[in-house]
Amino acid sequence: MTKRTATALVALSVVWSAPLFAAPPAGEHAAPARVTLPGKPTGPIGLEYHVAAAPAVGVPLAIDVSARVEAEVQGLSIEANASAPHAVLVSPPAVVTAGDDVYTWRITVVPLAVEAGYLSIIVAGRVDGLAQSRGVTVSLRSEAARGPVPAAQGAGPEALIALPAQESSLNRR
Amino acid sequence: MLRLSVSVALIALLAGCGGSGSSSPAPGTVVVSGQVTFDKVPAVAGQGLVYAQTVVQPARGVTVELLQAGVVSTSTTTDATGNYSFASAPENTDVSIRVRAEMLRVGLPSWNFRVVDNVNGEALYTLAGTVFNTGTGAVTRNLHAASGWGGTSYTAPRSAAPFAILDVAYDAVQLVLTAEPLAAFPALRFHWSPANVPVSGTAPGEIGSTRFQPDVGILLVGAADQDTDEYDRHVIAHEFGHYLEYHFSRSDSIGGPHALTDQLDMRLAFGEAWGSAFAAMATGQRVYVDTHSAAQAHAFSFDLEQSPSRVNPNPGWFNEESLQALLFDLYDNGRDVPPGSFVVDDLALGFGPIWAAFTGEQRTTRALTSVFPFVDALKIARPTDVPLIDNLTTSQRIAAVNDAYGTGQTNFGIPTKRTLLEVTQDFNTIYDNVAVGATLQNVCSLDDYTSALTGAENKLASRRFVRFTVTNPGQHTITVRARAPLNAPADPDVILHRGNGLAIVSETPPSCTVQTPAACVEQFSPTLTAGEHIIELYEWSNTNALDDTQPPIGRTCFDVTVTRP
Repeated sequence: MTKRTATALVALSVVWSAPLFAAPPAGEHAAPARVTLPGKPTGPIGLEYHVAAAPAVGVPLAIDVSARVEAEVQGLSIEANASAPHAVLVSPPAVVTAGDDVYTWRITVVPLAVEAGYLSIIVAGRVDGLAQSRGVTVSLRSEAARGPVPAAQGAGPEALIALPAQESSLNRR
Repeated sequence: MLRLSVSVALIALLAGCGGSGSSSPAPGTVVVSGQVTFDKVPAVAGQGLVYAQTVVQPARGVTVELLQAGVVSTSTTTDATGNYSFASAPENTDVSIRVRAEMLRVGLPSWNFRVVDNVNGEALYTLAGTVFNTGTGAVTRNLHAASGWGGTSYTAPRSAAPFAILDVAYDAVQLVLTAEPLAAFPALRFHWSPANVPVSGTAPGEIGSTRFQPDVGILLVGAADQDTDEYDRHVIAHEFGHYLEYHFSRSDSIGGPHALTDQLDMRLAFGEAWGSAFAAMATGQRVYVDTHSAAQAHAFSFDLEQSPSRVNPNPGWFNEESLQALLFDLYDNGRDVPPGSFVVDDLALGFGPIWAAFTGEQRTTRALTSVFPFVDALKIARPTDVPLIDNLTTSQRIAAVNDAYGTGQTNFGIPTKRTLLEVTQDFNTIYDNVAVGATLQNVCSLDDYTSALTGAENKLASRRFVRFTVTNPGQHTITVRARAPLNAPADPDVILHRGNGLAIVSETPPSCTVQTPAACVEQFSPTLTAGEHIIELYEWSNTNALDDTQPPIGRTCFDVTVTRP
């Protein structure tokens, strides 16, 4: 038995341009039923992480990071940086295993606030003398910080964000 | 050398409305003109963003407004040098200049691109000038959008970011217009925010990753010290390539995780290769760079030319790196020797033929989208270039392409689990064929191309393809039944491709055991029109991630029957 809901004769169009085709027949829909949007291109370092539990204030949290690398990658290193360094304690990454092109580290963090931000983890190495890296970002925000998603603004005057400009001027009379 | 030339005529076209002002202003008015610029921070392979090498660039083709008492009185568009001009601004009047993060052109060609803040109500970014008095003579008012970089971190608003994003769109549009001068680009929003983090979650800004999403637009990460993409021109152009693919061509890509060296489902491989090749063409830079981390000081990069010493371990029609190199070699005018080739790449088709194939057979083919319909279209359109095209495909271990289905291909990659000999017993053609009324035996869904970097779910041969031709329209019954031996209870799933990207999914969970393979069956009866159809079939678990609660069960074979009652 499989876990998913049965979906018989659900139609899809993975990616198509609506104006180009005639209306689908009855029972056939244009919903992208199985699209998993691809991420950005990635290179010789594959990175995964596993968080032991949900982040909670004052509770040490183990984050296991696993890097799979192609054989040509040399000099692998890891670094972790918190986006809110005052709101979290971060231990240096500790090597758990290394070898056969698979490396794992454990990073222990202690959130000091509900809004503990994010932990950015970078694994870097060199390929043909050129630095290559891969990063993942881990949310350290406690459940309590995860309020409802704010609703988008409805119709009305166009919303604008005014970014500051550096101006120079010349008046000629 | 890369193909850097662009059409001067198109530059003039894009320049649009800006830059006038040589004539005398009407009585009671003055000319207000100036230049709009932004900081462009270079993304450098191996280094990340190099703020020390920031250059000032013109903001091309963006909307500029003249405001009186905060209300727009007139607007124009910057030209190819970022210049704008209002020929008849009222004299002795307090006004201000506002630049919208927007490229807008009506008529043909046309476009409507905007950069908005997805965590702030989709608000449009603008560059806001201060109020000044126009006086009685011509006024020059230049506006510059700074990066906000303070030496070791961002210390001021990142005003340049939206304009850096649009600058890529400008170059991408120029490239497309060289092939299709009257292109009508559907509206596109770039969703960028400094709060956009590469985390999949529900908090504002947790967008998961930079990506093109058809119903949304292009989402871009912007979180400093984690991942920012506003200066990663290839990343933006790659996603713009997916936007073009969606609106002007077609993609049957199944998506999912992918790395350059992976042996992928051919649809995913071509789609991603197109994105990166287009990025190189649009930016004029063959080295793709994606920066990230603290101070944006790290990068992932690759050279589409696979030089100088790159050895691709898995070349072929299923490999993203192979296909992006092929696409770029078809386009560029560099006389390099592709790895694996004994012949100099003397082909320099430019963008026109590539766009024609991309928006022609690649869009309309009854086959699934892959390198095959694209190259097939190219060879039909360019018969005199066939030997050179064949040379380039051969250099990527793709046999000469003779149809949209990859008939005659002999490279089926390097399995990562079983031996090649074992795998080729199951997988030695891209499309199998079945006649209506017949049964095709032993079509096997495999997990033999699992990637150490990105897992199994979207790799080569996890999904298999079977062609059949309907000559008698009406209801047909398609039956896919598992065969012994089974590693685990099988769950065959079927997608029937009806052409032009339309498809029907049938994925009823079966109730069966290892001991009852005949009960592991998928059957449905669609009404079909005449013509060729393609059955995509797979063992459902073989499309799951390795860490899924129901991971791939591996080699699972099926019998496929199509009947017309």
